[in-house]
Amino acid sequence: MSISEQDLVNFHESLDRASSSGKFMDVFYDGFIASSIDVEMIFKDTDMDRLKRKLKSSLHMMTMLVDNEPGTEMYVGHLARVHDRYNIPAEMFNVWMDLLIEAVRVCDQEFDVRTENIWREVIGRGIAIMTQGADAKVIEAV
Amino acid sequence: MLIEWSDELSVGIQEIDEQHKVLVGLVNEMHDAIHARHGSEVSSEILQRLAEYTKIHFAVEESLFRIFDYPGYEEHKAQHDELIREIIELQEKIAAGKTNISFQLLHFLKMWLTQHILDSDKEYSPYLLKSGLKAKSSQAGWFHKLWH
Ligand code: HEM
Ligand SMILES: [Fe+2]
Repeated sequence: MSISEQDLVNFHESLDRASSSGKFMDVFYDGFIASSIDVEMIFKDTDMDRLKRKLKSSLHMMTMLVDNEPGTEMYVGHLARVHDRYNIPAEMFNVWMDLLIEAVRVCDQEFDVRTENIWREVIGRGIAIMTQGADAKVIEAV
Repeated sequence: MLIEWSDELSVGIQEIDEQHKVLVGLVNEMHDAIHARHGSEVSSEILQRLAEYTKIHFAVEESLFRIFDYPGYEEHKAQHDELIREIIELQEKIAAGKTNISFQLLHFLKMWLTQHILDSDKEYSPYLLKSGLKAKSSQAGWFHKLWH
């Protein structure tokens, strides 16, 4: 699926609706942390309030990736390296995406199949960069 | 100009804001050099100054975290360490002729710096101020004197 300008507008609107529910990040991270002991262990020392705020900006960043905004690919590559030290298996990224979309379903009143597909497409591009052989991505993207 | 300084970027601590402005200035200087096609030697030299200043600035923040026992220390330091590691690798690649300074890199630095200030640095300032750090230095601090 290729992503149109209108799709990106829809993505942002869906993200805004989900965010304004006030519980989007809680629903997502509660679900993700409860998904397995492994995930729970990875987050055991994390200040979740701080992380929730950061995730929101990186979701916006995913649309900039689709828009080919300069520097974004490098930035997501950098984000991937920040995750390296947790040795996160690739499947966990799929769980991450599924549960993120579940949280959108719960928090966005206008969620439908079309919205879901846009979310999968946009977030999928970010995840592809996050999971492709972690080393030296930032440098390679130069 | 690639990055415009605005109050939104202020963390409310004068000394830190001054240092952030220097970082913004160096990224802008690198941007101008590339635009003016000054050649890779000039931009590598600016990158070197940016790398050095960044290390000093991070060390200043981290020492404040230690002095005031900031709970987000480890996480914040990890972000600093990762950026430094990437810049060093990049400089090695540039020196080996394997890559060069690009608009991608400049925009990456812009994103990193602004995101980092907005998401992470603005998190520590209320804590440091509450713990007794002064928002304004009565005279230019030791750091300012050393650098300028
Ligand atoms: C595309 C998917 C993902 C995105 C966009 C994302 C985004 C982020 C962001 C923006 C941060 C903050 C980084 C920083 O500046 O310090 C972060 C930290 C983190 N993420 Fe992710 N993440 C993703 C997937 C995952 C997955 C699958 C895991 C698996 C458990 C995970 C675990 C963590 C952990 C443990 C931290 C560090 C928190 C800390 O410093 O204590 N992330 N993530
Ligand atoms: Fe910092």
